[in-house]
Parts: sequence; C-alpha cells; structure tokens
Amino acid sequence: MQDVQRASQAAWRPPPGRVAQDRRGLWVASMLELLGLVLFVGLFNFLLPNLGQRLDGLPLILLGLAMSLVPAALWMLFFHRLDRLEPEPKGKIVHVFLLSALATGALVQPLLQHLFQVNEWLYASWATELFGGILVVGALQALTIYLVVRYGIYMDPEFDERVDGVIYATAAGLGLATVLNFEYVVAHGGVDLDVGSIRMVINALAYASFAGVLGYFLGQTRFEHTPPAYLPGGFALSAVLIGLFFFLEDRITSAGFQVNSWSGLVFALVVAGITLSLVFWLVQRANEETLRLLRDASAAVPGPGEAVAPQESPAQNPPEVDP
Amino acid sequence: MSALLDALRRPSITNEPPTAKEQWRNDMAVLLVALVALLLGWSIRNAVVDARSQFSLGPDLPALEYPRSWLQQGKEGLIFQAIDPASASTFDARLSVAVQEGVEEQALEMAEMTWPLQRSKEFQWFRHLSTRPVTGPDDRPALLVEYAYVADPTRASGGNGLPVVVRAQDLLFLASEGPDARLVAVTVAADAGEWDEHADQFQAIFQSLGVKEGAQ
Repeated sequence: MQDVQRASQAAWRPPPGRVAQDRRGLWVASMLELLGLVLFVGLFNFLLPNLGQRLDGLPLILLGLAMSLVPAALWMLFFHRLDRLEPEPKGKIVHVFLLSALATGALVQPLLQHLFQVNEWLYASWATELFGGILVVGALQALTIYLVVRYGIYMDPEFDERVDGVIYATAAGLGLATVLNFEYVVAHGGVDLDVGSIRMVINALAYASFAGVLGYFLGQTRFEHTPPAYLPGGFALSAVLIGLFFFLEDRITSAGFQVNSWSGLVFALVVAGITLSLVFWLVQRANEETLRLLRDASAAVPGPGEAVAPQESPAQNPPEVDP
Repeated sequence: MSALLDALRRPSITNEPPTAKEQWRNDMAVLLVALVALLLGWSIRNAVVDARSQFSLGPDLPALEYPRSWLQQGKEGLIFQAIDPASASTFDARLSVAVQEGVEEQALEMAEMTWPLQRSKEFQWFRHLSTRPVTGPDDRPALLVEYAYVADPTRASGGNGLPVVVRAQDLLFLASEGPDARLVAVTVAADAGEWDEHADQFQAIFQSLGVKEGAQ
C-alpha cells in the first residue's frame, strides 16, 4: 500500500499553472515576522528590562525555552493568518518544523560537538572560523534542511507550487534555529532575557532566510529540468551564507572590547530583509516565466476548426522578452 | 550579473518536472558536495587540533610538544607553563615544567616517597592517587605520580566562583647525572570533571617526550 502511495506521489505532477502561484501571504508574513521580532526584542529590552533579574533557576529556564519558540510561532501565526487563498496544510508545516528540530537535536548538534568538536578549534583563528563555519557548520546545517524538506515533504502532493520550497525550507530553518536557542538556554541555566532575546532573533532570522534560499532551489528543481550543478550550487550557496553570516556577525557584535548585540541585530535584520526580498523576487520572476511559457504554448495549440498558424509568423510567435 | 540571475530564475525553459533519474542525480550531487565540504572541514579541524608548539627542556633532552592553541604563561618557580584557554572550567587545563637543580643521584628513588609529601604541602585537600614507574625521555627511568587537590582559581581575581577539584599527573625524571643532576617535573593538570576531554592532549604531551608505560 505504501509502495503504491509512494509510486503515485512520485508520478504526480501538478499543472504548471498551479506551480506558478504566487503566495503573497508568505512574503507579507515574512516581513511582518521581521517587524514582530523587533517588537519581541523591544519587549524584553525596553518594556520588561528587569524581568530576568526577578527570576532564576527553573522559572528562568522555562521562560527562556518559551522565548526560543517565539520566532517560529510568530512566523507560523502570521503565515496562518495571511495564507487563506490556497492554504498550505499547517500540519505539514509543523511536521517539517518538528522533523528539522529533531534532526538538529539528535544528529547535527551531537555531530558538531562530539565528532567535529567544533568548540576546540573553530575559534582558533579567523580563517578556521570562516572556513570551518562554511565547510562544517554551514554544510551540515544546510544538509539537514535539504534532507528534511527532500524526504519530509518534497514528493507530497501538497508540495505543488514553486514557492512551497521556500515555505517548507523556512519552517525547517526555524526548527533548526529553535533547537539552537533551546540549547543556548539550557547550557546557560536560563538566559539573560535582553541579550538572549536578541541572540534568539538573530539565529531565527539567519536560518529562516538562508533556508529560504535553499528552498528556492528546491522549489525550482521539483518542477523544472535543471542543470546538474543547479541544486548543488544552491546547497553550497546556502552553506556559504550560513558560515559567512555568523563569521561577520561575530566580528560586528564583538568589535573592539565591548559586545554590542544591537549592531548584530541590525546586521541580521538587513541581511534577512535583503535575502528574503531577493528570494521573493526570484520566485516571482520564475513564476512569470512559467506563466509566459504556458501562454505561448496555449497560443501555439490550434483550437477546434482552426488552421495551424505558420511558425514564421511574427505575430503568432513573438520574440522572447524578459518580463 | 544579469546572466547569473537569469540562470537562477530560469534554469530551463521546459515547464517540465524532472525525471526520477534527474532527481536521483540531484540528490547524489548535493550529497557529494556536502561530503566534500565535510571532508575539507575535517582536514582543517585535524590541522588545527594536531598543530603543536615546542618547548626545549634542555640541550640533552627532547623538546616537549603541546597544542599550539594553548597560551604560554610565566609563573614563579616554573621554567614553563601553558594553559588551554578553551577550557570550560575556571581552572584551565595546563602543562607546567619545574626543575630542581643539584639533586642527588638517588633523587628519583627518593621522590617516590617524598614527592607526594612535598605536593601535599603545596595544595589544599591533596590526595595521592598512585605512583608508578615508567620509561622517560631517552629511555631514562621515570615516575608518574597521579594526585588530586582542590584549587580556587577565581579567588585571586576577586571572583566568587566555586573551588575546583583538580586532577594532575607529574612525570619525574633525572635530566643529567653526577653533581649537575637535575630533577625535572612535567605536570599536566585539569578540572577532574574535564580530565577525560583532555586525556588525549596530555597523552600526546608525554608521548612527545618518549614516555612509555612500564619501567625500562
């Protein structure tokens, strides 16, 4: 039975017009997420700056763990509210989120800490931090996002639009960021709520947006023939972005003798804004391309009783113009 | 730039989904890229972890090798000390070398009895764990003394961190004979809770001196 289901999923091809649907809700949700995260940081830094000082022990840890979930919860909330036209099944998004969180907690972090022992060598010099961050941390985390999307949802009939790659990869990226934030809270026996909230937001922004980049490539390769280097290129780009971002983030937050988390937050917001806008633009352009080809194809197919138009006719076969 | 963006948004003009074979190829290509990246990362890790600095114990003795990431520190009574700044504990894992000049030729035999006593006067809550003969540099007879004590590393800096149980090993051997005989003590020490994490590094330090288990 499972084989039949798997075979039918593998053979299932959504119509190209459906593949090219734009999800305005996703982009608005992502931009609202940026705004929501700024408010989240503002809450713990300006409205409740002393909350952490009144707590310690278990309550502080529990509050920290609850805070770790806020970035992912905000994104899902905004997405749920704005994605009403052709709603993506929320259960599947949560499934991908949890799968990514599980893979990160059970595999990625143990591999980084115990096999690669990154704490012992990654920060030995700027070169090891940059190249180790890309080749080990970035590659392993991008691989997790890739495998979770590829084997968790990719062949599912619900993965029927190009933009679904971005949606599910973002959910996977947020799952990864949530576990990293969890670990940070537990390792520190709670969290300094003001600085901790900034760190959580930076993690969430980075992994959501760089997972979105990988998701774009996954969406393209699900519905298009692609050159052999296309998806590996997207994977490598995502790993490089993760490694490079945290390398620069480290330099920006610890410039001079003081740690300045705010400049790190501004940097993360700018990078996430630019990255998500670029992914949005690329998806929109790719969708326009798909729809243009569909229009061209339907114009070339003669209706009943119509003669086949001569191919040479410039009126019937307009030159390709980039939208 | 526009060609790159064009290739990104329009990898092919087909509107056709990939075949199962193409998807398999994509999977394999991604796994291959990931594997190559991780192997390169592993080699960077090994290069950093295995990088060693040297300290010469003397003209007629082998040089001692320790991890390059460790920081050299000056301390009274020691001819050399290096600490691991990446230690999680407030007591950094460390290597130190002390030399007692003009000792008697039987100093090593005497040290088997007197050394733990001497250490017990230096450290608080000292516990002698074991003493065993080993083969030291250039096949010289040597002793490996293992012990534990309680240190208070944050006290000196005015901090209020908790005291730490330290586990340590002293390698003792005579560097020369006759009236110029010197007793060399090479000490490795770490927070007892972190000992296992540093055991490989300590073993490498002793191996660089040619220390072997069992007396010659």
